[in-house]
Amino acid sequence: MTDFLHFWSDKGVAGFIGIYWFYFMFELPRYILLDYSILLITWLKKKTGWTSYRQASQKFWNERPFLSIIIPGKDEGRHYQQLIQSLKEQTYTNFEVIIVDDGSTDETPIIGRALEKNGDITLFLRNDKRGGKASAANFALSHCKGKYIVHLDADCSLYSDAIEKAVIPFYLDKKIGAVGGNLEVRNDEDSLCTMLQAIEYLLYITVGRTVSSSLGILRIVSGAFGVFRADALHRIKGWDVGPGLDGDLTLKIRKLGYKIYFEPHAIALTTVPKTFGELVKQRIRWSRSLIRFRLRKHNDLFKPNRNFNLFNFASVADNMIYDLLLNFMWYGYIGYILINFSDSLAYILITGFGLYTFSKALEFIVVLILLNNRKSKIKYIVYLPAMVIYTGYYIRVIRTWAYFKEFFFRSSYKDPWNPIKTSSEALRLEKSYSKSK
Amino acid sequence: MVLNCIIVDDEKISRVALSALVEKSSRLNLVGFAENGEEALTLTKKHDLDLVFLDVSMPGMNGFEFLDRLERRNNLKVILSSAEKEYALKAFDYQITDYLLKPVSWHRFNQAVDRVINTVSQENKLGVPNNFLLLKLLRFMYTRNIDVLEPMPARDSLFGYSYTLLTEDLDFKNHAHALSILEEAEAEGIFTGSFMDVMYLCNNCSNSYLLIRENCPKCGSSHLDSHELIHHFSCAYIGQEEEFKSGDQAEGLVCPKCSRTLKHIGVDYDKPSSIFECRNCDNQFQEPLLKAKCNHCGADNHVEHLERKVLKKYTLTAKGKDLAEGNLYWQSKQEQQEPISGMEQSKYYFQRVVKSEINRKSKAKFQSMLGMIALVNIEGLYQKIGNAGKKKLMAELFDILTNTLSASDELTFRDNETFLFLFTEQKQELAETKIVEIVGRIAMLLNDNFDGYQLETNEAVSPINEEWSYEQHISELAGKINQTQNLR
Repeated sequence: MTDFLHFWSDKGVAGFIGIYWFYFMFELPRYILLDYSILLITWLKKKTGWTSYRQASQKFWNERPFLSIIIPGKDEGRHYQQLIQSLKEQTYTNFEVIIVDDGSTDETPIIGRALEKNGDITLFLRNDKRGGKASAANFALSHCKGKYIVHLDADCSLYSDAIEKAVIPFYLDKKIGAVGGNLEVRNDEDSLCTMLQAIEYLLYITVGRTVSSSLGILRIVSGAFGVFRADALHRIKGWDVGPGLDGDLTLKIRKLGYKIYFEPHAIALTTVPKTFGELVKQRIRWSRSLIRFRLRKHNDLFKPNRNFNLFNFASVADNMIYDLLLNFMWYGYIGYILINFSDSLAYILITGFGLYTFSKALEFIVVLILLNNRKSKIKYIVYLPAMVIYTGYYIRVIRTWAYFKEFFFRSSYKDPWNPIKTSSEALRLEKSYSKSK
Repeated sequence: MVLNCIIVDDEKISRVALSALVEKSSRLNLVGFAENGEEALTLTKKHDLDLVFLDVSMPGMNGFEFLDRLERRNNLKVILSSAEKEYALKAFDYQITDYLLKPVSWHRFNQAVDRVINTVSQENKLGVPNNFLLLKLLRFMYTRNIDVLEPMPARDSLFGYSYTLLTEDLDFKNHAHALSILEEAEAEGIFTGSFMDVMYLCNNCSNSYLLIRENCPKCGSSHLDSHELIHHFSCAYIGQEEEFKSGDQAEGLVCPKCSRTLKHIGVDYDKPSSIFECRNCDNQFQEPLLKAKCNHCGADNHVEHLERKVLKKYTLTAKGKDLAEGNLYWQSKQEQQEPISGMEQSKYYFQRVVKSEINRKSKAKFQSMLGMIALVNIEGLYQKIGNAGKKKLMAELFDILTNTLSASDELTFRDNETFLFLFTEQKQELAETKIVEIVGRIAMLLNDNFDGYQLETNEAVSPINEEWSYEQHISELAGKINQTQNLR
């Protein structure tokens, strides 16, 4: 113990920062300082600009726009009842509900047809041949009559004011093209894995996206709960082949010149993987889309031509730096520590653990400040130390693995999440695009 | 069984004596007197009679002449009464049921009535059409050594097949009756049936000539277009085939999203499904409402409400052969008990009990309540399930409600849509809660059995008033129901 204290007193503050330079250079400014300054700005905005939100709400209620809620998916029949029930309990009710069944092989069509017959939903569409999530969403899109289109995942359910809260932002600013809803974990009590994901969602979705949204660089509206201007969606003719089609679509809307907004108070509950094994599969799919869409398909965002837009550039750059570049740099940093401090590794690991736990706590405080239902979130605090391991090592390793696979093998095109026919055709299409560029 | 009878006699004293006996008997209902044959003839034309007490010697037309003049005797039974024995043999020729010697004793009179009732009930059993037709069929098959009765496809039969011997004796609109006769005979072990096919018939008239077509689930129109959908793999676009057709025929199919030419089905695109478009209301949908229009009665049936019947060929059993030989006796259950007729009876009974309650009320101090429930929107359901379904449903409702009520309460149908209740010696509040309970039961039953059907009802309760007649009570209840109906 005395050795431990001696070690750090020898190093001093400069030495401390020198050892954890990775944290102080990249992570502290991006995740802590930025969060707090944005929080301050939002707070100030709310103080001065609250009336504008009230006006937007007023405008929304005066217009009462017709919405289309679309729910594409495969083998999701067992989730419908819960979601439809939450839609029936909405404070805002002027909408149609369209469910698309993408070639389900279970009893989904029977459930869907029954809902349609009972008038619980407006339309149930089914493709006997599976075409992938993008085609299912596009099928729904071609039957939407609403001014705004709400895209939901079938395994979600909404807070009763979620639809209302998610559409009002369109009346704040005419340039807003899409509003992302907030996602919280429904099954947080199921296992340690779901508990950690619950905290991760709060940190990276609730806080992370609020910050990106305020900076104007929000790059994803999640498909689980996203609202889009119908005219914008029709202009870009809907979704392209996934995985990661949400992010792709958001970028395409950005390219049309629209802003993307995140509304933390419009909340959908979602069920997350229960075991670390299932979680790996999900995350590999998510991470791969970064390479595929940002780096390959939308690489024009980096080119300083006349379509260049600083925010779009910043949005993708932030994504590339923090999720891709630093991900690899981190291994370099670990190597640097191993080489230079191999004899006092234990001290550094323990202190590092403390430092990151403290940092997570600071981040978590933002969550508590931001949300209205903070009482139910306090229980998460005891899990914060475990979060250090979870995000610091576990998620990082999964990501690296996914990036490698995608870089060298383009494995997302072989993902069983999409039918082979669409993946292979999409690959051919994208190759031909890059040739023509 | 109560028989309608008349007394024909020229002597007043005989008429009075006989009428005293008739009135003493609970099994006879005296319709009228006649002093001679002429008067008797007019009475037989005017009334539906079962029995005539006929004097032989009358001035003008005597008893036998009267019987000669009767155009059709149908099932009219005759008991001759005379002071002399000499006509007995002649009476035998005229198939007289009994012969009474005047003066008639009560014992002898009763014997004669017994005999009449026995013959009438025997004849009834043989006379009902089901038994008659079946017996005819059995005898025909038995005597000609035909063991198997096979249905033949027939365009001129109501349900599309003919069971030669049965359907020929029935009107076109009653053809389906043949099926129920055979079904019942099979259940009784007269035939063994073996499966041939299944058929779906109009639930209103059992016709098999149905015109099936898709309808718009929103507006009900059958004016629909069907479009094939195309899914372009590479850009995930899905649209109707028409959208992919450019003006230039040579160019083939072009994707409206990414403007690329589609190459080959299965390689870069496929047709995952199709969609209907209503030309009447522009509604688009994949699941049309299937309806079958009956070519005979015009009823537009939802296909799921069509009457399902199993077509069988029938083989005569040993029991069937015994029946044909006349060694056995059998009666059709369907004609023993019609569920509706049970409810019909309850109407008279209900009326009688209510009338007695009104009477009792003027003598004793108590409160009894009358209640009425009108099923406002049941007509739509009746239309859906057809006539047979309606009868079944009403009988089932009647049964369930009878079991729900306590023994001292009474219930009947006023019509197909209205129930009447009598709650004896009960306060208004209690009667009202009971009514609410009953409505809940009915609604639950209907909701459980008919997907998504929401029952609407109107109820009224009013106390029995000793100064009002039965009809006044009912019209007051009906008035209350109409009022609440109008308020909605």
